[in-house]
Amino acid sequence: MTRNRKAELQRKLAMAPVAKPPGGLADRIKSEIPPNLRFEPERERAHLRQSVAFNMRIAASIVLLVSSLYFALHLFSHSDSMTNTKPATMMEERKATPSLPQATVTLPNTPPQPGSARMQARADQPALPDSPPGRLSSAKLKDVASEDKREEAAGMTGGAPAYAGEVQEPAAPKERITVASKAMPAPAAESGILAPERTEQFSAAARAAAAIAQPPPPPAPVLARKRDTDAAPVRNFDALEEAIDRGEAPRNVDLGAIVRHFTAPKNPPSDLSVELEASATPLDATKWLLRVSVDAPYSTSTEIGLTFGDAVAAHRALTGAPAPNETALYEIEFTPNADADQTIASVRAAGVERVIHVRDLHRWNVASPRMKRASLAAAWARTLQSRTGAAAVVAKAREAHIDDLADLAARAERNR
Amino acid sequence: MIPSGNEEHRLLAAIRGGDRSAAEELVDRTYSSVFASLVRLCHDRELASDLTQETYRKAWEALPGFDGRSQFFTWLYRIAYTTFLNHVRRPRLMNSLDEEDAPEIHDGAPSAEQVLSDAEEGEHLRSAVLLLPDDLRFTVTAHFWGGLAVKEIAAIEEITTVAIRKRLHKAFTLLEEVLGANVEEEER
Repeated sequence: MTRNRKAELQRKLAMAPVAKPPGGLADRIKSEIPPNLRFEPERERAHLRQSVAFNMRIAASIVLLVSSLYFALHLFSHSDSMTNTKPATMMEERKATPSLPQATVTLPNTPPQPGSARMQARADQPALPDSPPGRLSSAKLKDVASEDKREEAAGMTGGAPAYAGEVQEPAAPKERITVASKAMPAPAAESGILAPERTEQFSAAARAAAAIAQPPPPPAPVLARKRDTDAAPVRNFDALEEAIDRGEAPRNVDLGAIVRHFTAPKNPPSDLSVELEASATPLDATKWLLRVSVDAPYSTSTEIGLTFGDAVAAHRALTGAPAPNETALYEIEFTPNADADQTIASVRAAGVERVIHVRDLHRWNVASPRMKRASLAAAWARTLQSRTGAAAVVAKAREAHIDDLADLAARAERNR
Repeated sequence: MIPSGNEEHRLLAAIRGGDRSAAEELVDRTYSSVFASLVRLCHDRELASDLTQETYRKAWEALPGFDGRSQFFTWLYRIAYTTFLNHVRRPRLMNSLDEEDAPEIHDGAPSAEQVLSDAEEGEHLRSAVLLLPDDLRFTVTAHFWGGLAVKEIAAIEEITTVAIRKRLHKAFTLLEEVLGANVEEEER
């Protein structure tokens, strides 16, 4: 725009004619002057106070409404999370889904080829039966089984799974486990109906273990719960320890972080090492755990390849996937008639390969200290997550001289 | 004649004290300017009379809230301008500004058309001003049609005089674009 054009526009705008008001307009305006023009500060203040009070009431109502809504949503989401709590074990998970069509269950009639890999069991696949392998054909295992059977007050006969006898947890020295069992028909054995047929006198630890194996009791009402720290997930072990020290009972804990803490090697290895170990769980001798520990003297992104063998019918990761300087735990179930020579799993990492077979299985009390620490840490994390008692974990940890875990679990138990 | 600062203070103090004659004096001194501004805005004397009355009605109600940051007439012009906008924004009158048969000003004074070399251009200019964005339109009309100083407009708008001058510059640019486009259309 040129200066001249701007000046011309200004001139035109300013030159607009000034209209004269019509006669009588001033009188009309004056006639509308209110009779009381006096400015009364008190009246104005009162008016202002009324307005402010009204606005404050509206603001308070809005705040109250929003708070109520937030509280209600929080309660709803909380109760949803309580009802959607994951079952503690694969067995419980299966019990919780009885409506799955049994007809769709397909079990392999013949074991797969040795060394063949299995895909991880998917959640949408039909549940597998609870029955453990009918028998293990290895002579060595049979010998071990016979020895264990002799230790029991009543030996297990043909229908009972041999491997279960092998790894049956010996009772505490003072309270000997007495198992009375009779031969079971094959279908019953396969469907996992073992409990009614057996009469067992458990030690205190075994009773507690059985209690943990049961589904967790219904949670207490949310409002009645004290020191509830579910809302904030505890993803790191230090935070968990601090929460317990504060007298809280954290529930939303990271099982992997707890296992990692208790299985970290005291000294860094001189070279990359891979450990594979499988044993019974510390609190339930009929369940099995596979541990994969990969230790490296440095930070590395080496890929870890884990392949489950043909002896494993199903597995569930309790922690994250195997990784350098991590310990991964899997709950595993065996195929029926699994042979001692069959493979449970193999791991390959940076040229190192480890394989574990069925014959390498052992009872928990003869497991390596690291396996004991890992499995007990996982069991304790489970008790935190399901708000079940940790007395059995504490007792087992004391037995195994894992005092750091026992002390912490005992403190958390007191906070519960 | 719009009262000066001291006179304005005296009159307002008297009005707040309940002096009706002071209010009448204030009306006498300001209503012509308010009316003239409204005529320029709406181009309708009858409507401008009604809007002037409405402006004062609102002013009496709002007078206790007048804080004296700007001159009384500036404050009054803001009320008049808002009253005008409220009026044209009513649906039934939305199109009245663009009607070709809008009532002419018959007050004996020289009309915009008579003053401007091109009467049609004067009407285009008014229409173009009313098409400006609200802040620019208020600034232009208050300055040129309301006779308010830039400083006064800045006070009532609570911005700096530089910002007001920027507004005016922007308004001129837009007016030039609109008027230029109109000329091109007519030439076709």
